[in-house]
Amino acid sequence: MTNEEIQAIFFIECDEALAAAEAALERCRTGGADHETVNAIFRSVHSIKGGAGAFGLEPLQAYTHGFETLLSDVRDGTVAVTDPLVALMLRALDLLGDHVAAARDGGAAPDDAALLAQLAAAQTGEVAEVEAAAPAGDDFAFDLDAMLGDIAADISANADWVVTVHPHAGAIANGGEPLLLLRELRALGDGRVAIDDGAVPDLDGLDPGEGYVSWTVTLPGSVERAAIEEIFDFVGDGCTVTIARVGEEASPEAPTTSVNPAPPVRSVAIAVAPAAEPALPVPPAAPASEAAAPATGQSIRIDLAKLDRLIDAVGELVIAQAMMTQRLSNHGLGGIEELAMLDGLTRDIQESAMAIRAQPIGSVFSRVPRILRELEASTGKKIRLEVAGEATELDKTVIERLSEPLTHLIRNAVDHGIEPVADRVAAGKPPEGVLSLSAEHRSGRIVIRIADDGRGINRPRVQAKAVERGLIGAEAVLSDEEIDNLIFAPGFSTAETLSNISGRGVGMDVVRQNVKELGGRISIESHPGRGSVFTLALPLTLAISDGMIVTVGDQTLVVPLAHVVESLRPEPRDVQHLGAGRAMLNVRGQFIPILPLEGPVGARSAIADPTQAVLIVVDTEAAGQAALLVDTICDQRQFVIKSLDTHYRPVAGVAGATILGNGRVALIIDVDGLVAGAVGEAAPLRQAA
Amino acid sequence: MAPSILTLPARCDRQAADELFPRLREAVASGDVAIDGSAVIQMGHAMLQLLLSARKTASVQRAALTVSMSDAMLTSLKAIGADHLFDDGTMR
Repeated sequence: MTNEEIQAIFFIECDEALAAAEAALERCRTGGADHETVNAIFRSVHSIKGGAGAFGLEPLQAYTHGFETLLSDVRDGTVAVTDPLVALMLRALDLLGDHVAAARDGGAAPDDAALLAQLAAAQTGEVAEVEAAAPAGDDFAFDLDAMLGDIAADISANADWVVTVHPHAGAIANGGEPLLLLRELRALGDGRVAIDDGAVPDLDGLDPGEGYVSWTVTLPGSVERAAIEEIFDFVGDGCTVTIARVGEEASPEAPTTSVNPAPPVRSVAIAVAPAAEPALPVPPAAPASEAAAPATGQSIRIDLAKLDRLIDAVGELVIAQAMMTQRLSNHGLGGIEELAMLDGLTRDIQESAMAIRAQPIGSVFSRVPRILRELEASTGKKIRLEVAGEATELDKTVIERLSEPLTHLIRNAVDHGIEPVADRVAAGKPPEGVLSLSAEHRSGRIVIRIADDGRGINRPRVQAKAVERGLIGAEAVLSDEEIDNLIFAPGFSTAETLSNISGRGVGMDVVRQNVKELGGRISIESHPGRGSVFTLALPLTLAISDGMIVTVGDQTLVVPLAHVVESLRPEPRDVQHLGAGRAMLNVRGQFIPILPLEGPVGARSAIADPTQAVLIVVDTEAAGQAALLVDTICDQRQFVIKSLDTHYRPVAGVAGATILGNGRVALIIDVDGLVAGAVGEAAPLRQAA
Repeated sequence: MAPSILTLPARCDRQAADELFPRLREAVASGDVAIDGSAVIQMGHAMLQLLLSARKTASVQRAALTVSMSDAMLTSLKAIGADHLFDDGTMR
């Protein structure tokens, strides 16, 4: 593995560490600043520092050192966790993110002098004085208890360190030498060391590979705790170490001070935690355990390319299994038990392979607090974030491509949805707006909701703007839902002046396009004065999907099941011919266009009379519902998506291709594109013979 | 009976301890032992434990166990608070 590859892994780990620190700081902000939470922040920053040092990223290393020093004091309890301190640490974390980005992209390191000075000042408690103004009239207030507490804390803060070290077999294995650690420890300051050899057995009971001796080292109180812990960084479980100041109890849960659980030189690209269940779906909205200690399960890193090869192979397995099913069915063996078993196993393997690629959506959600902090600073609005279902998992590629549309929706909600504080108060709302993010699995798809309690969509204004832009006629009568959907029209923006936040005029249509490219759909529900909810429904994976296999003339096609509402054979009275070969279907009082597929897919000899064919009612983003005219429905099954763009060229109305059980290629219908195009052109039906 | 004399290598690591272990056990079982550590440059954890175990065993058997040390060995043992166990060249 080259140095560049190792460094790339380091930056992936930086992102993970930043996300972990962000989550922990959020817990601190909401009052959950327990020892483990603070420790989690420290570990994150410390591991970035270690890697930065190893790769010679000096500005990053210097900055993390300053940050870590404060965190060390916070962890030791010498600096109290206060709201201003948490705010400072959040700013410091944001800057750390900038530092990492600069190091990764080779850009100039951000200016950190002012923040480092604040971090240093915070070690002496100055952050509280600077940022949290004392209540008026309290200037001379005098709290004896607090003062005595401070004095006690000062004494405690300067007390000597007592470090106990008990090396086990693991510390001696593989050439390890615990005595070097002790020498390093003593080198930190002029301390004392006491050996305890009471547990050493006689020669008959001795195992030279075991650890019997332990030490107690006393170090001056001026030594930084981080410096002590650093010595044991890479010992892992080989040593039992406790660190406490004289008079304190050593933390009983500290079997090891392995503050950096592993060196940043693992060899591949994504972390895979062993799942308790092999299945991909995670219970919806499963709350992340609060302040949970890091998971103890083992994990490995796997090169993504290897994983993709596995997914490809699973795709071929699905196809091969379908072909075998077809072959056996031709011989009247389609119902044999072994085939059902194989079908179940194939699906299990596919789900397990997908689960390896699955990552919790929390990795995207964890970036949101920073976005909100920036938005709060630039807009002056106050926003509270509520998150649910961070543990919900979906495909890594979907997650990566979800980040941009999600960010835009959040910026949009804050910029256009949530009102300024004065407006909210005037409207009788709490001054603080609420932005809710949630994710859950539902019917084989992941549903993400971005909700705000702002002013909702201003429909008269949206409609007026749409008329002005020529998107609709001045006389158009639109339902609320249709007006709301106008904001997804290309180039639509109601912002009076383009802001830096969301009103770039390329917003919501790009969001919809991004979501559509992911095979997903976006919808809006808005209530004037009460807020808006954007709902994204996305596939769990981009590689394999469920579809309806249909025939149109001499062609076999796949209609993605996500679009299918129902299928029916209409009575003659339900079909209204409009002339020019066009027809509408009456579905329980609502008329939707009937679209023949014969022309778009180049089929021959298809059934043209809707009453003799089958109509599949589909739902689309752009053009509402439509009824696809097909000859027959053959099957409903999983299909492996093969890109036409890659293997041939983009074809209008076709989303891709798949290989059927009989070995033939079938086109996958791009329902959105086909319906939008056909409705625009009002595709004519071929007159029934 | 003259004590058995065992010589410590310059590098007293885990491997050296493993090699010395059976000889030391046999020697202590036989009577007095003199350990020559004058060549020691580096003292490791496994060897330290072996010497401490030998001390305990010899004490139970009322055998004498003496260690002569190089400066490097003495310095190493001081750094880990074990020098007092070797005060006058005799393990107590």
